[in-house]
Amino acid sequence: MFRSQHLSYKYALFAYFLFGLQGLVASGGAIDLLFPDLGNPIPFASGRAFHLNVSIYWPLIGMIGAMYFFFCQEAEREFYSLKLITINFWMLAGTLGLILGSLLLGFNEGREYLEAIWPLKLATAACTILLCFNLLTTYLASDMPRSRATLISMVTGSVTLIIFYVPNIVSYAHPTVDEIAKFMVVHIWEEMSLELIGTGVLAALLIQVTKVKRQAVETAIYLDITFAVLAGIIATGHHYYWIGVPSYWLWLGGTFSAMQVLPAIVLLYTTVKSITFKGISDLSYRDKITMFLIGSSMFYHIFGAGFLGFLMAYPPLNRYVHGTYITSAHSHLALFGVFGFLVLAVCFHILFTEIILGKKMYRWCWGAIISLNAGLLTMGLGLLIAGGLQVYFWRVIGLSIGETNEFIRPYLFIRAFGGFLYAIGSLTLTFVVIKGIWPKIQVIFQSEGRLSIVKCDDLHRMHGLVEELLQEEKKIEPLLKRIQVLYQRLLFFNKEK
Amino acid sequence: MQFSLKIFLATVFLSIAVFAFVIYDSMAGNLQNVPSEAVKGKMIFQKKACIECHTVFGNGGYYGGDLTKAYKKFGSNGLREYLTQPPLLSGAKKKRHIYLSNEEAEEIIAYFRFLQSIPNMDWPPRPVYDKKEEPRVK
Repeated sequence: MFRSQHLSYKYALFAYFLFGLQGLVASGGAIDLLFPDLGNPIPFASGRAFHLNVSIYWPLIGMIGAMYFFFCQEAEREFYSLKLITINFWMLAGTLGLILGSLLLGFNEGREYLEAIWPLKLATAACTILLCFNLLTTYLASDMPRSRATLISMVTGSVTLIIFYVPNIVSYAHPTVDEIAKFMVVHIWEEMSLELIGTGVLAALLIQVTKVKRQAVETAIYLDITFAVLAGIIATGHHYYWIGVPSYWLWLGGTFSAMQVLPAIVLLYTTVKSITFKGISDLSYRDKITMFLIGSSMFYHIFGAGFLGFLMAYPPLNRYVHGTYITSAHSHLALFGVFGFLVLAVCFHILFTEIILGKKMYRWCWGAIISLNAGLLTMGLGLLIAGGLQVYFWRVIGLSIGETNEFIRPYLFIRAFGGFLYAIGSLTLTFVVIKGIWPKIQVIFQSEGRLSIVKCDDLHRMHGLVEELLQEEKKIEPLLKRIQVLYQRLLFFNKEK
Repeated sequence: MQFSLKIFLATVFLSIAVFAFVIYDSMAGNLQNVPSEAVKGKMIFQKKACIECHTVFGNGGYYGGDLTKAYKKFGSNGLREYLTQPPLLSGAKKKRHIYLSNEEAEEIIAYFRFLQSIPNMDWPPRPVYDKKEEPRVK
């Protein structure tokens, strides 16, 4: 393993910590909306701003960690600067800590998703520049083919993070310009930059876990990322329909949004192609969790982001559903459903590469993931029905927003219940991860720390071989017992190291 | 350079160039100047984090309703009264809408007046079964 990969653990751990926090704060907000007189210690506006910002930052931090982990593996060399990986982490963690703290204290720039004050946005831009510098210098120094799809995908995704973030450091006097700039982050980051990074990371992970041949997926990766760029950038137009720009955006936004289903289908095809039934049954406990989380991400990619997004972007329909809870359902399913699950998958894989998670803890992981999925689907359903009723009462028969709110209240209860299930899942999974990591926590935060001399994958393989031999060769059982004792000692050593 | 990489890079540059051009075309000459009082109003709107509960152009929080055409719907007097003597929030018995001073209310009204003048293809749509005559702007 590369030392750069060890340094990426803290990103994955921090992403899990924030993910746990998000579920808790968001549930508080959902309850505040239903019972405004309850006296929530966090004002609704601060809580919502916190929820929106953390929902962008934790997948971002996890994805950056995943890039540090998989990029060096794909480039087959260490990162240009190991120190920059650690500096980048503390810069990101510090910036995010200040953003979330300042939002809770009421320092809010009042632009949805971009509520942080401008010096902290500048710090975010500096963090992404640092990441790009390290990626580009490593890419240029690598002996691997320059056209390797995984490398290209991650580098392009990272560079575009900066390009589309910079216009948002300041806000604009004209509300139309403000909206144009805002969706360069809210839409393009999610549906193009992170899509490219995610595809690169996912392909690298699948190549490692399923042992699929690189040549078999290389063309599919290129096809996927080309569609993601082609459709992703100009599809931003579906956010521009009603903000005061010329009507040709209806055509541009509608056409390119329809094309956004293509990369999702190609990605699904690539993933399914690289997995075999026998391959899944041979996977370690860790990789089974990883693959289930990836499967969840694929499901929401096709249904939550792809088809629901496709329907909503159709301009005549968008005219009525835009600005209702239907949009909220779509953003929950697309943002957490697609990227959240993908980041959870890669971060879980990264964190338990060397550290062994006890067998019992995996049961809790399964429970947590089922709870997360049940929570997300319940939230999505509640919001979809609430949004549908909003369209009917508000946009069709013309009731006031106050009257409409009374009618949709039961469905917001369903949303809050879904949020509660989600929070249970997120807190359980975060608890399991932190508990599993805790004995090695100091080593993770040391710049030069090494965790163990044995990889979990090797241990899993050895376990399988011993089991196989035990079943087939009863005659040499005494000898195998001795191997097993040695194996147990090896495990014990790895745990204590 | 591999053919797939060439196609990919060409797509990246072309898409960004087309996107930049259409944004330039959408803004150049199409956007009205924002009156200074409306700019101040927008600052208050942002400082009070109104977007967390309300939407503008349909973007924001979905509980408080859309404010793009609030000026047309409620007029200056209606908005002034609402903002300076805030009513109870929907579903609340104690919690009221945020309070604004007279000066802040005037500036935010100027911002709403400017917002409703932006030609945005008449969004939000008028309710399908709404037969009422549109209220006059005061």
